[in-house]
Amino acid sequence: MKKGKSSKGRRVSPKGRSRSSTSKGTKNKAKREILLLKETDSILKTLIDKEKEIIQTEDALVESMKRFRDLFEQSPIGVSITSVKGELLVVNKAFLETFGIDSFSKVSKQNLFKDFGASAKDIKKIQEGKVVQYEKEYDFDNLVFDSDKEGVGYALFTISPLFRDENIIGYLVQIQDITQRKKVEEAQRLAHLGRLLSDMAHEVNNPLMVISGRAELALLDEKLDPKVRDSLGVILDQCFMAKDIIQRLLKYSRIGKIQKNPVDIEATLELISNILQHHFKMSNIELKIDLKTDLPQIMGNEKQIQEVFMNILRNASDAMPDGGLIAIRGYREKGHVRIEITDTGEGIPEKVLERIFEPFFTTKQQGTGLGLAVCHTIIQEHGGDLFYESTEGEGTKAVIMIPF
Amino acid sequence: MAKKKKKILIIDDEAHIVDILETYLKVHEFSVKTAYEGRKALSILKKDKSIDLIILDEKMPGMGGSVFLKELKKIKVNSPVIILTGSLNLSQFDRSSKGLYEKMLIKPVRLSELLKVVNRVLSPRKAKGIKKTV
Repeated sequence: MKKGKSSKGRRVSPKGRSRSSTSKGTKNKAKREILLLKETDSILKTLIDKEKEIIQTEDALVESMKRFRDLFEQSPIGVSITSVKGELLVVNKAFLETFGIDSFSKVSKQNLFKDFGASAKDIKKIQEGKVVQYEKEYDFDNLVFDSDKEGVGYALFTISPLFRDENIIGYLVQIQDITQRKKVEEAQRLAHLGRLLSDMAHEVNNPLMVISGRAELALLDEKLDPKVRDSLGVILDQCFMAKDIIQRLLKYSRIGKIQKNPVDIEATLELISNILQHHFKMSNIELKIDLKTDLPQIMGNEKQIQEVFMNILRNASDAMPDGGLIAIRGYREKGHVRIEITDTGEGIPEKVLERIFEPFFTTKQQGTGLGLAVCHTIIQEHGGDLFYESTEGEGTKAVIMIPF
Repeated sequence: MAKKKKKILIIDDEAHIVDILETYLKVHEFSVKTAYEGRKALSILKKDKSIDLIILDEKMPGMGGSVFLKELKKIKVNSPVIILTGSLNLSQFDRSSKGLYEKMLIKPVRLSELLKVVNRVLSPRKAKGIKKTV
């Protein structure tokens, strides 16, 4: 009993025991819970803070990205990033505008090294990881991709390598459209040349007058030895040829300054062929003119356009010393009036063809080498193009394109 | 009786050119006076009212061609003037001297061509010519 009692008395039922320690346990539990809560709270707070931080970082990142995208897109300088092989990966607006294209897809297949005119020397330097800068002239009508632009433009390329862990992973290409600057420079150069030439003309024309005048005075002597007479004649002719060169050069330097008005190509061609009619007849040359009736007027300088036709037709006739046929065709083509002047002459060798527009280059004994140089500059000043195609022994075709 | 020779005044600072023109025009039966600069030419013109024609270099040291032409009007000399110039940059001269000369020739000019122009300008039936650059 005792045992039992005692045992009873001492018995500590789990329930009882627990009950007997309830207040203490609850306190502990509460404490622990509070602690836990506090911990959770602090963790939550930390989490919230972290999240805030992340959101802030994200916002800052998005903001930064936007800023960089604006920097990239709105930059007045054309920018592209290429792969290490030179494939264009991304381009900005100014890049597209420089080349007159409306979407990246038109150039996405293009390669920096193949399609943008870098020289082999530049490509080598670029691939060695050097920063390379070069200027490039573009003929927008002959680009490998479609362009909305026409005529000729200039771009300044700056290509810098992009490194990661000392390896080149691609290139940053910057392009500045320098067409306007080039045009201004060219105009300044021509204005300067013009001033120089007119100063020179005065200095040279006076002695030419003295030489030719003396020769002409000497020619007044009727008893003159025929040989001396011939020599004096040559002196006179050469003096006037020199005068002609100076005048043409001056004209060349002034091409850009001339006023433009609507010009009727058909009427201009008719006028020039009338002037040359007699010359053609004497040289046994037949002239055929075939112009489409819808040829529009162009904006230009009539005198200059006349000079171009005159020069080209004279050259064509000079190429056929034994006579032949000159055929003129004219039609519209892509916003241009296209005039083709074809002769059946001896043709122009490749080596000569490359140089025909160079000032002072001539194959004629009495030529100044300025005729075609002037023609070329005139047509370019009209925003057009002049080029020659020739097959030796078959003939030559001059093509004039002028925008309307 | 010999026909009265027409009198021409040549003004050019280049002695060689004056010499050539003088010789050539004398051969062709003209009476010639010469001056190497504008002031001297004006004093000749003030004294001698019988000058029929003036051949004037446009660019001379001292008094240039356009100033000379205005001075001519001041002293009421109405003799026709042929401008002979080596310069090709004439827009300035053109603007200030419009209507004050008969004809302009660019050096070098053939003397035979100059003679034609002289005769044309002096021909009595010739109405006041239209200025034209050759």
